[in-house]
Amino acid sequence: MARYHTVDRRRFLAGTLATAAAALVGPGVLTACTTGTAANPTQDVSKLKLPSAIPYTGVRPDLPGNAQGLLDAFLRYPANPKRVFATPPGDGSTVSAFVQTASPIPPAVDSNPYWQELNKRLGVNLQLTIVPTADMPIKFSTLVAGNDLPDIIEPALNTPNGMPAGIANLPAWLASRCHDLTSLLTGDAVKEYPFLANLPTDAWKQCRFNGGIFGVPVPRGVGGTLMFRRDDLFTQLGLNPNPASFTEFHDVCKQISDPRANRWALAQAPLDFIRQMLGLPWRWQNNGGKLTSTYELAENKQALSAAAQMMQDGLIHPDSTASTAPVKNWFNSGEALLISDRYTAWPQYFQNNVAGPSFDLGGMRPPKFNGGGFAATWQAEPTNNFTAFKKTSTSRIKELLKLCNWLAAPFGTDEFLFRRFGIAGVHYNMVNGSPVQTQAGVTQTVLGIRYIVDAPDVIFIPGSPEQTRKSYEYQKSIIPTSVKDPQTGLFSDTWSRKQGQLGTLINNAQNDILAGRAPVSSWDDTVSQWKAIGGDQVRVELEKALQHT
Amino acid sequence: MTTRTMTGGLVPATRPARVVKAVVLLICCAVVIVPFIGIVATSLSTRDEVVRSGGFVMFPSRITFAAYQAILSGGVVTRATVISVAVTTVGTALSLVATSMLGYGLSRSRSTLHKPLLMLVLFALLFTPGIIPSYLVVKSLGLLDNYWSLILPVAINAFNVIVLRAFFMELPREIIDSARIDGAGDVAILWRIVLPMSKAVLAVIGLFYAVGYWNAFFTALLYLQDNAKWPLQLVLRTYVVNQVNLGVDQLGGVGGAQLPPQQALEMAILVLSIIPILLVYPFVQRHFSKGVLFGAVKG
Repeated sequence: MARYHTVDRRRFLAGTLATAAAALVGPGVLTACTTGTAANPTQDVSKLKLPSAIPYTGVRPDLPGNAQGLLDAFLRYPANPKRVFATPPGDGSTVSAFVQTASPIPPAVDSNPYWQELNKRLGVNLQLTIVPTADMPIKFSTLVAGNDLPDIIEPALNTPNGMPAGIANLPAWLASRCHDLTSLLTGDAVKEYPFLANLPTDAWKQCRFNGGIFGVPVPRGVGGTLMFRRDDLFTQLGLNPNPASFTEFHDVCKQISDPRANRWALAQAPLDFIRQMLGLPWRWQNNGGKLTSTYELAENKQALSAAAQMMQDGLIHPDSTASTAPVKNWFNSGEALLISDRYTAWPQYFQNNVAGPSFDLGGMRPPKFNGGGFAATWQAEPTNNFTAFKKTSTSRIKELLKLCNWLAAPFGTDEFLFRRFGIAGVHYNMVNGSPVQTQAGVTQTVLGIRYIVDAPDVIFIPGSPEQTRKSYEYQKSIIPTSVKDPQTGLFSDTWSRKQGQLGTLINNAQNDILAGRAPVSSWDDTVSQWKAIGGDQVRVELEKALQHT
Repeated sequence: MTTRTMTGGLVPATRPARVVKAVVLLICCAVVIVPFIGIVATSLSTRDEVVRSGGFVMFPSRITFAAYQAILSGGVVTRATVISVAVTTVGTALSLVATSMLGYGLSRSRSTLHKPLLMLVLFALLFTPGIIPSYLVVKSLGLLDNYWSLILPVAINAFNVIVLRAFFMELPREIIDSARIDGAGDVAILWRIVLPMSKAVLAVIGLFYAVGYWNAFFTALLYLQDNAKWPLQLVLRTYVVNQVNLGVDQLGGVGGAQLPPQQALEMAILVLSIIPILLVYPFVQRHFSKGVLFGAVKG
């Protein structure tokens, strides 16, 4: 479950640089605000009415999702997708936006037919400042310091799950420089923008600041991270795909691991998988408004001990701690048969496999540690990031929200097909009901507009209805018992400032224990340090925020 | 008494010693060359081979240029290369001119404000401005989104000024005096006497500047909002920093075409980014050792 706790070195380095940069540029950032946590307005959102959720019913999924978080699934892209906008939403003006990209930079607008067509369909001249995800904090800081804000701003949220990171006094900055969208989006007001109303309610929770709505969300499914399993190799080796306890899990891993055959059970230490087996929470346990960190619970040491034992037993790839360990390659080549990754990686594993038609994937549910059924899994953040709007006239904001409404047109529509895949015949070709992008499509369509706002996530593995079905069935099996973290949708300024520092401390200590460099008993000192440098303060702020929701 | 003892020179190594030396040197060469071969080989490998080898291929069974095609397609990299070459050329020329003039001025101990200016340069060497102050200065000069923002803030490097000043001070005073007697002014002395005598150190400093401009990405990240103006290193960096798993993971669960494997792309980027330096280095190499050794031995 690397996405939850493990920070790879590249991300750590980026985080550390970002933290250092934030420290350097902090005073500049705060020119818009005052210093100190007290500068933030109240974060009481108890009286806030979130936008009404009015699901779009124009497209019927092949496998329906539900309100608990199970995503709709599509076995193929709907034929003859409906065009849901008769006219472009824009007024012909220039709209600037600051967005991230997780892809190589696309060609400029003058040599990018996709961008030109996007401008035509949107009815605006879209000027994008596209920044690599890892560079977002520093670029964002300079924009803020120089007060060079574009119309649409994606605050730098340098975390996998989109929680605020590295931005001091984010609420105060939003209040000072960004438009309060509450009156335009609260409750039924959002009906003016039907595709924003189609976004799940939980996704809006991360847009709550200063008692109002200060952004539009980019939603993600809560299915989160799972233990991917090479089902083809499990079948070939005659292994039990669903161990019923930790002991059985250990046994299966032992059967798999054979260094002479260059094969190991796990690509990384399964620390979070074991934590789930033990019933530990992702981040916090909520007991009537009192929060206890997962790190403070006794079972956490048991999880560390069990994971360290697996490392010693040679069940985990020996290079797994290397900074650039190609864990996905190991999984694809069969060097490791289990890997934890986000559910969104399912299509990627399928597409990148080198095993040929026999390649098969599955998700291994965590059993309860001592047996007796499956353990509850952790729900991920329902929001990848949010986007704020520079303070301006209400009429201008309405124009921008119309654009966002277009950008949130859901899967199955013509607008979504264009937005994600480009122009038919140029950027993609339909193959057996699935759009397959051309090289031009891959390079030209990655403008980062999906980080302005996005449609609700779906399960769709192009070219493989079977894999789509398996992914859906896996989510269907875990969602009913999955557990939401109490921190979801809450804001803590200390967490925002110190997430990198706190994560580094925990990560280093965990790695030392897993590698046998430190005993499990050293964990108590780590927790004391974690509490002292900010953990306790984060707890206080989150408990306060809990009272106000 | 053998010839060896009579000549009093270095005693030739014995055969075993020569073998040991050769082996050590071969190992040293291999340490440099093998990873380089691996980089080139991986950049030319297919997805299957990269995956099966765990990410680093030494001897590809089939060569593909897919990684290079992926990087060079779309015109982004070629455009960025032109920008980088232009910025490097103009920047290096400007930096050399400015640094030479400042270094020469500071080397004339009786020139106006010689001491305070020298102190200012030393101050700039020790205390560099922060990111935000630099950004605000560039912004106030109206250079945001302008190529000059990549050149002017770093046009003069204090360290290079000090090196050049020291070199100029070592030049024989008699030559400069005789030129002055012949009626040459400071500009003529600098242009016709000093600079021609300083080719070695200028080559070294020019290379330092050129490498600096070529490798710079941070200033571009800060000062350029329009991605179409990005230099090569910043564009290439997006391939490495963003890890290029451009598949469906980044597309949020809906599919796309495959790019070549990430390792092949990263290696192709490495190869592309070192080509210009490899091309330039042989031409300045003879000056390089001379310039770097300047001041190492006095007498």
